[in-house]
Amino acid sequence: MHIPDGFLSAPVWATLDVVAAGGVTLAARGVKNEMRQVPLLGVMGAFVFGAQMINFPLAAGTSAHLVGGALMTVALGPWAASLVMTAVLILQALIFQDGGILALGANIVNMAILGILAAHLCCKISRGPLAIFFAGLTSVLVSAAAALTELHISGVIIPRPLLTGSAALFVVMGVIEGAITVVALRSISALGVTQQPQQKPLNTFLWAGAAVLIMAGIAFASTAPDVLEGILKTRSAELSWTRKSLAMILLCATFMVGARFLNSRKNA
Amino acid sequence: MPPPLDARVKLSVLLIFLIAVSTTPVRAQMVFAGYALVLLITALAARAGLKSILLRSAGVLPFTGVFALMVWLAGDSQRAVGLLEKSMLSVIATVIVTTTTPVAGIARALAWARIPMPLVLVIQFLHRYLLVVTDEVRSLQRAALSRSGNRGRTRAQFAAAAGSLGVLFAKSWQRADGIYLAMLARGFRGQFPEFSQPHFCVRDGALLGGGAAVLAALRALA
Repeated sequence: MHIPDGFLSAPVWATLDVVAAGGVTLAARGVKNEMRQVPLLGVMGAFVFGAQMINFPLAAGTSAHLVGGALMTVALGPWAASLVMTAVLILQALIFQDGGILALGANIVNMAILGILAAHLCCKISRGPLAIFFAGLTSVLVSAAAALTELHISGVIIPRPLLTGSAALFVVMGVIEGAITVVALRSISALGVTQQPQQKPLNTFLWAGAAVLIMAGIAFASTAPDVLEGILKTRSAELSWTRKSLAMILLCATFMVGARFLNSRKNA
Repeated sequence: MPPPLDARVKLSVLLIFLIAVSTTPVRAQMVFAGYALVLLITALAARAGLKSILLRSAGVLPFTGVFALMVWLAGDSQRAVGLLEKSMLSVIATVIVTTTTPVAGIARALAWARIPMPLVLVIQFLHRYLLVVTDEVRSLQRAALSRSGNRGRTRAQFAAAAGSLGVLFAKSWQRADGIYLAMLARGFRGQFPEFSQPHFCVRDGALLGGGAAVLAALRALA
């Protein structure tokens, strides 16, 4: 979901442009042996464009394509993946009018920073196909939730039933992304391409990253309480702000512990 | 044929235009008409072809249309019209500038704006290999089609698409290795040369000054 120009209010796009510039500078420093990596990352960016052309058939004649954030995170590591997705987004905005120029910061924060961060956290917590599936799923969900939050703050208010509907749509898109990422990585490893991402360790940033994601979750929960209430099946309309955020944190924690538990059972 | 305009100036004027459009309140409808007139004059002066500009800009309509419809359903018709106008003006301006500026010039401008060097280089490599990789995708799709005839169950087609994706990844990875070896063979020693910036001439100054003045005046009318 690329936000075009004209949708975000000036304070929102300006803030996110600054945040994106900082994040991208950090990512560029985080890529080790950067001059050795430049051709690889460039061609991988072109690969993301190509991969988005390949249609995966779904039921009833519909089809979907890969977004690629989670796949790049697993194959190249988080810093390089962030840089590749940023380059993809910049070229999409400049050549294909996919996303605006002023909104570039917002799109970079949503997809190349928060989405990659979510995918990386999933891969850190656990291993195996289930973790990769959740990496794909959460990267799409986090990006979409961030985009909807930014639009909401900018005054693009979406009616409640439509918001619930689009949340359901994003969950479906996330499940598809997770499934494609798992299947694609399986066929990549079957071909035996050597993958040795050379990355600076990220552990110091990991907890900061988790905190950022939880904050983003709280922001989303406070702008879109209907969706959250639907998930929690609470009928009371008067949930307080703190209770909403606590519920969101609880939801994240349950999800992470659950993923880890399911995966450990799988390996045993 | 006069020399091409400095990409830095074109992108700066584009940014000023986008910021002006973004900050103009929706009720100032005459100012939006003024912006549209500025775009029309620019497109005619650039001889960029009005039809192709409009066709390329129309790509943003599905997204804008859906959101404008939702906002309209929510009962805010003025904001819905504003969303459509602002996003169309912005995308048309972007199309005019990017279709008349080569990517190499844009990359030089980005480097001048202190965008981290690895990112600028990745953008250049990406653009250079974009057509190569998308051509590869087409031949992969043709190959998959001639093996299976696009028959079979959805599950089998899904597996075939995943296989194509894997092959594309492997080919891209190997291509990157080959590119790096070729760079070493041509004398690459771990440093890319600095970008040289074009000479800033009078026409560039006139465009920057004139563009900024016209847009600031229009914005002040709102």
